[in-house]
Order: sequence, then C-alpha cells, then structure tokens
Amino acid sequence: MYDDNTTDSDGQVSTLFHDTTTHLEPDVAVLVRGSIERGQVRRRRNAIGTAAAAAVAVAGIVGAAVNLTPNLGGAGFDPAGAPAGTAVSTPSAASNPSTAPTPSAAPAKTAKPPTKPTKNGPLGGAVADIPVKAADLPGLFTQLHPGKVTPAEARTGRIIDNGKESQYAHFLWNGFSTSVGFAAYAGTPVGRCNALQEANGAALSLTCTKRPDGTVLMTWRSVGSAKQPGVCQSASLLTKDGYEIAILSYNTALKFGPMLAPEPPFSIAQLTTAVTSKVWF
Amino acid sequence: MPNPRGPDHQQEFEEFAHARAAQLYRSAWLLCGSHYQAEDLVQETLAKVYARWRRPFGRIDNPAAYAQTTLTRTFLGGKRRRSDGEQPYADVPDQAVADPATGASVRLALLQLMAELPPPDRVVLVLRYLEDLSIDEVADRMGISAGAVRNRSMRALGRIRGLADDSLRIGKD
Repeated sequence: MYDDNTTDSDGQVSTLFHDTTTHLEPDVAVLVRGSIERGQVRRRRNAIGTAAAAAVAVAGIVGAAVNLTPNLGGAGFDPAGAPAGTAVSTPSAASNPSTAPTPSAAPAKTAKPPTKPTKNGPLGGAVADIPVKAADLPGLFTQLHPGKVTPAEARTGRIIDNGKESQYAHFLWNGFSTSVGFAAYAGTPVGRCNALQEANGAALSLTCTKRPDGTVLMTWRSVGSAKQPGVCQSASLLTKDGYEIAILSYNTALKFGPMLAPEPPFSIAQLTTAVTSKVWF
Repeated sequence: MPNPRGPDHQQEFEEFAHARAAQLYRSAWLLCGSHYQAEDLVQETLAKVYARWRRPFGRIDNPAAYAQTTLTRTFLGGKRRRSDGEQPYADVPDQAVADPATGASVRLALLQLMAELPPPDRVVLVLRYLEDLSIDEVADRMGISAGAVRNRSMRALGRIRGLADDSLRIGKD
C-alpha cells in the first residue's frame, strides 16, 4: 500500500484513521438521492451553457453558421414544438423566386461578431486539404438543386475560407437563406454526433444515424419563436476521415426576417440526399 | 443507439454511488470535520460524477478513483474560494485532547488536529492513510509533485503521531 518510506508510525496513523472512521455510517440513500438531484441540475446547467454553441455545433459548422444564419442562437429561440419536416421530392412552391420578398425587405438586427474558427489548421481528424473551396459550394449545391443563387446578408461573411479547417458558404437559394459547410472535426463520426446530441439533442431534435459505410448522418430541426420566427433544418454527414459536410435550409432570408414560407424549401430528406452526394469530392 | 442517460446508466450510477458513498463520506468527514459539511461534499462530488457519467467524450474509466479525485479537488477548490474565515470546527470541544480515554475522545481529538492543518495537508493524510494510496498516487490525485506530497506528509504526521500513539496505547489497555 505504501511506498518504501513507510514506517511503523505510518502504520499507526493508518490504524488511527481507519479505526476512527470505520463506525461512520452515513445515510447513503439520502446522499445518493441528493447527488442525483444536484447532478441533474448540473447537466441542465451545462446544456444551457453550451446552448449557443449548440445551435451551431449541431451542424458542425460551429461558430460561423450560427452567427450568419437566421434564427439560430438568438434570444428567444425556441427549438421545441414544430413537427419534423416532411420529406418531399422537390422544393416546395414557396421556393419560387416570385413569391420570395427581397432580402432587403426586412431590417436585420445587429448580430454579435461571428465566432470565427481558428485558422491554425484542421480541427482534428482530417489531415488532407478539404477537397472543395468555399466559393465553389453554392455552385455545387445548385448542381444538386438548380435555383437562383444570390448573396446572403453581408454580415454572414457569405464565403469563409478557413483553409484545411473549414469552408463555408452562405447564400440565398431562390431567396431562402442556405448554408453549406465543409469542415474538419476531431474524433470518430459516432463520437462526434453523440457529443453534439448530448449537448443539443433535446433542444434541436437532433438525431444520429450510423450508415453501413461507417459514416454518420446527423439531422436536426429548430423552430423560432413568435418574436423571432423561422424554421431551420439541417443534415450533416460525418465521414470516417474526419470531415463534416453540412447543409442548413431556412424558411427566411434574414436573421429575424419574415418567414417566406411555412417550411424551408428543402426537407430533411432532400438535405440528406445532398450531403451524401459525391458532388462535394 | 443507446441513450447515454438512459435508465441503464442511471441504475449503473446509483449502484456505484451506493457502493462508494460511505467511503467517500469517511474521507469527507476527516477533511471537513463535520457531518453536514461532509455530506455536502459527498453530494457535490457524486453530482459531478453523475454529470459526467457515460458521456460520449470523457468517459470515466475508473469511477472510484475519479470520484475520490473529484472529492479531493472539490474540497480544495472550496477552501480556496472560501474567504469568509469559516470555522467548520467550532463545535469541537477544546478539551478533547486532554482526555483521550474513549474512542469518541480520540475522534474529536483527531478532528481538532486535522482542523489545525492546512487543507492540502489534510488531503495528503487522508489519501495516504485512509485511502492507502502511495505517494505517487497522492501526487497524481492532487496534481502536485511527489516531493511536495512527502513534505506535506512529514509535516502533518508530526502533528498526528502523538495522537496515534495515545490511541493505540489506549487500545492495548
């Protein structure tokens, strides 16, 4: 038990400590019950503490996406409530450009400065260069879903090239805010998704689905409040080699802007098809 | 996919907590010197363990060691933050050392001696002589060097040995 410096005197102290405490019998049931109650409070507090990152982290486009996309991470954000998006084979009629107001129709609230990812290299798992550039992402997206692409709000940064770490594009697709990201992440696909689910699952109906090829599909949906309306849904593919391809589709053009349609133009099923496409590689 | 907070893991934690709570309490009692503070420290410790129980990242490989380390650091952290001059041993009778004729007196005397030690010294003694850890293990749990553990241990033992001698002599009488 002890090291080579143990003495008889040490043994006496040990005996004293054991003899003195051996009779102590706390009410274990009370201790355990109290611990669980406190632990549950801690978990809730932790979840709230990560909520801001959560809204974005879910998509893996941590930091950037939340600040440049409508309705995520804002005060009053209410992720609960709305039914899951229904899968449709084509974008809804609401995505028609003629029905969408111009982005400048509603004033944008001042957003917090974007939490930009560091530029010190990849986040972890991926070691190779990201195979696409941020500036190419809107064009690649329209190969999958033809439509009119126009610049998003300037505050979004629109095109963010973080080298090996991440590539983000934020644009309007037929007037609807859309974000596409390709980022490196650390860890395994399952671990990554589980961690995000742990932090955000309850708030964003986040689901993780392991695919036969070892990748993980992560989907989530969030619904804004009456004060800050909007619906966002997203699909992300977490690849085995440490990449995360994410697409977020909104039913608004601006943060806190008016809803252009009841639902985003792309269903989760369509977003899933898009993120699992080979077009990105 | 199993829910990391599902009923299985809840039950698993409860079984762990039931098994370890009493020992944690004994350590906490020696560190804090009072029943209520010891209970509070144990609950806070187990609450921290609960919050991390079966998380996808940061999985706890050795829950018992993790809980003991958490208890130690929570105790020390609380002492560092406490600036109100709290006197947790105010209820210990002053005359306890003078009459070590009973087990209760020895306990009170031990608590009083422990109370007079700096919190890190108390932790060293508890980990070494109640938890039976080696110097290196204590150093690891406390995040200090083995040399620092030796120094603290030597200093603290000087205060405790007299009582240990007395209590053992009483036991032989």
